[in-house]
Order: sequence, then structure tokens, then C-alpha cells
Amino acid sequence: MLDAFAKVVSQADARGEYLNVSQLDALGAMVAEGNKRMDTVNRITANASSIVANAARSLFAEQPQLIAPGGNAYTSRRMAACLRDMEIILRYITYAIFAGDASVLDDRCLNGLRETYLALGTPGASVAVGVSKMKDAALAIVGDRAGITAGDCSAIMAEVASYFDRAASSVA
Amino acid sequence: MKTPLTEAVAAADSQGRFLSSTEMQTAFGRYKQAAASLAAAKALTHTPPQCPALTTRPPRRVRLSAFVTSGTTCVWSPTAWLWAEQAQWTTTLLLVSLKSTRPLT
Repeated sequence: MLDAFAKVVSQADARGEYLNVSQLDALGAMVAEGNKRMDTVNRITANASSIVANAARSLFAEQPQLIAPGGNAYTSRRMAACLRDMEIILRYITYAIFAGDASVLDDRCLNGLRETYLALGTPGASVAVGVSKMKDAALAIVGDRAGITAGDCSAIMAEVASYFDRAASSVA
Repeated sequence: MKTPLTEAVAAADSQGRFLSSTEMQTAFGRYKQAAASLAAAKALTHTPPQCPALTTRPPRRVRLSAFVTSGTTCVWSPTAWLWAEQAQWTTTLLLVSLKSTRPLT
């Protein structure tokens, strides 16, 4: 598992080079905007259950065959498994935002997930839709201007979106 | 590679929970030190090259003198040779121009 600092160091080490000015400046910018990152993690963490529940509700409204008899989320046990998986994906995305690097999300969550879903007969495309619904909800919460100092958060918003897209595309 | 941030994530992940305020504090501590660490890394990596000794100062009438060697710019100021990387060139030039409005001694 790497964070943004370790990622830059390991890349430079692999080439046997010193860190260059732009890498150091990028890390400096990340540190300077650290509060935005922490606020983002905090907000998604605090609203995790509502993000998951609303995304699932919206997904099942859109694809009612999932909860119809014989559907992949039919019976409470399978519904629970679906909600649990969505929460786990969201949790690893908060880890990735916190670390500033996608390696924790890749290594511990997405690696082998598609194969697992294939083996279990879970529709990966539906999971991907669920993840993209969580993305919309999370971005709305992160971008909420109430209760924070006004500023430009486009960089962190784009980074958050990229982690959700990564998760969605890896299971689709 | 272990860092304070990855250790915080590992602690939360081992219990299967979201990051708590304790782990958040780790990040604040890390960020507090990081600015100084990065400045130190930058200073050690990008050591200023040697500019010519003061004996090679340019003629009295020359207000501003500069030359470029391998990406580094040496600039004459009233007291010493300054060096600047390409990115800082404009700022340095401006500073030196302001300084050189005083007559050279």
C-alpha cells in the first residue's frame, strides 16, 4: 500500500533518480490543500450509510429485476450482501482519498473483484451503476458549500470522481 | 512502504471500519511536518551550483549581468553572484533590476 508520498518515492527509486522539482511541488500543493482532503474524507465517512442506502434505492428503482423473485438481490440475505459490498467499495474509496493514491483501493478491494462477481453470478454492470450513483451522491456532499470556507475544490472533486470511476470500470 | 498515512489506513482496514478521528489526526500531524520535510528534500536535492567568485565581477558600468549554464542562471547583484533556476529567473531578474537602480560601488 502506498500513499501519495510513497508513490512518488517508489517511482523515483525505480528509475534511480532524485525527486524532481515538479514532484516536490505537487506534494507541497497536496500538503497545502490537506484540509480539503480531510474535509472530503470526513464528509463521505459521516454520510456513508445514506450514500449507500440512497444509491441502492435508486439502483433498484432503475433495475427492478434485481429485487424481483429470482433477481440477484432477491431475498434479504442477497440484498444485505449487495449493500455490504457497496459500503466496502465506498470505504476503500475513502481510504484512497485519504492516502491521495489509488493503490489501497486497487490492491485491497478491486483486485480480483470482477472475477469474484463472475464466479458468483453477480451482475458487474449493475454494481458499476450502483458505484456511479454513490459517486454522484458523494460529489454532491463533498461539493456542498455550506459550513466551509469558500474556495476552489475542483482538484479534489476530480480526484474523488476518479476513484469512483476506477471502481466502477473495474467491475463493469 | 510504510508511512503515517498508510499505517492509519491499515489500522482502520484491519478492523473493517471507516477512518476515525484518531486516524484523521495522524494525517494532520503528517501534513504539519510535511512542508518542512519537502523543503529539506528540495534543498538537499537541488543544491545551488557555484557561481563565479567575486573577483570576476563585471565592469563598473554594467548594471546587470547574467549568464546561463546548464539550466542555472547566475546573476550579478551589487554584492554577489546570485543563482536562480529557470523558473525563478523572472523574479530574480526583477529583484536584481530593483537593486541595480542604486549605483554600483
